Amino acid sequence: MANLRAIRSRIKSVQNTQQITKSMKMVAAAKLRRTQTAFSALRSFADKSGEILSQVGAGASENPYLNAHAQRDRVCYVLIVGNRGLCGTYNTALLRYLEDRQKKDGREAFLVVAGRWGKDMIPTVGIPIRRSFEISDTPSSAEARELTDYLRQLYRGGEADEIVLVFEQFKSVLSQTPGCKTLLPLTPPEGGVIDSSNMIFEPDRDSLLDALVEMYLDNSVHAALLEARTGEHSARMTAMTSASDNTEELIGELTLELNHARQAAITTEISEIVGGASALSSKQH
Amino acid sequence: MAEGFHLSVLTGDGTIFDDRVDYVNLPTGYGSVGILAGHAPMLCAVDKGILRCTKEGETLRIRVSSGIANVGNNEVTVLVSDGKME
Repeated sequence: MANLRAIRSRIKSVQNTQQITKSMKMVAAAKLRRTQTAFSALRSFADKSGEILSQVGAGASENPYLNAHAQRDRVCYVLIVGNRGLCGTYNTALLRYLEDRQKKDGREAFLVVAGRWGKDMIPTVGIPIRRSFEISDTPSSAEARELTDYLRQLYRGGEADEIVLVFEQFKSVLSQTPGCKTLLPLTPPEGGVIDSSNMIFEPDRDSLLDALVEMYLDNSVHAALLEARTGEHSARMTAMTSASDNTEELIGELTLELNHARQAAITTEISEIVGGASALSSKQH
Repeated sequence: MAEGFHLSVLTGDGTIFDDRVDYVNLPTGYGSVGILAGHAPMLCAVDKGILRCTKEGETLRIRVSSGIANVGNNEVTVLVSDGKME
């Protein structure tokens, strides 16, 4: 009988786990929807500013962000990790990617981390961490601007000659691949070259270009943050869906086992009664 | 000229305004700039302030932060970091 009770309590505990994984899946799905909406809102803005930048940014300029430093020795990696675990290989795959990249690159590097995950995992890569930023589950443009301001400072102060964003690129809900994007020095996006010779610039081309570049940088960082978060939420949703499916299967197996045990117990009981009864009747004769 | 032009006001967090208007008045660092349909291509810096646009005789006000406005092809695109309909 002890066996029966043990199986029942296991079923109970697996059911509890299932409840947790199911609600985590639902939370991830809701957050995914929110980041996706924010991402598509940003996209029209980013497309437009990129388009204008490609018109104005063509040709030489004095803008510090468009011109590379004479030497490109120091790299700053901006590692955008998730806020939590329980999302499959989302974070670890990204970390492995960074490790490989740094091994191949070999230049002096440091890290700026955006996200809460991996306080003890990230240092194992062996790249010193300069600063960590807290980024919410649906990054706002204000959060992105704070991070971008810091990165701009690093670049202009000469502490970094190249700033590379390292994050999980969103392919679909089921697939994200680690990748990187060079933020600074900035290469203006390719665009249809529109004749801007008769365009009016108010106040003048250079200061407009400065403003545009600032905006473009903010956008790029914001887009990367949102893309990474979208990936995180979908990775967690996928992981939690398969965890829920697994618990379902486990409950099925355990129920089967429980029925077997119960059947066995009943059979034993019946044979005991029958045995007892026949013993009694044989005694009477 | 009567048919107006397209105005869109975009921020990183979403689109604030996207419609046809007859007239738009942009706040800039050197005073406000009025734009009617058929304006020459122009790129201008927007300063924080109130953007006014007129649509069928009705005036709408949008509070904007600094950014950029692109005028051309009979459409005006205003890119600002922050903005709110008033």
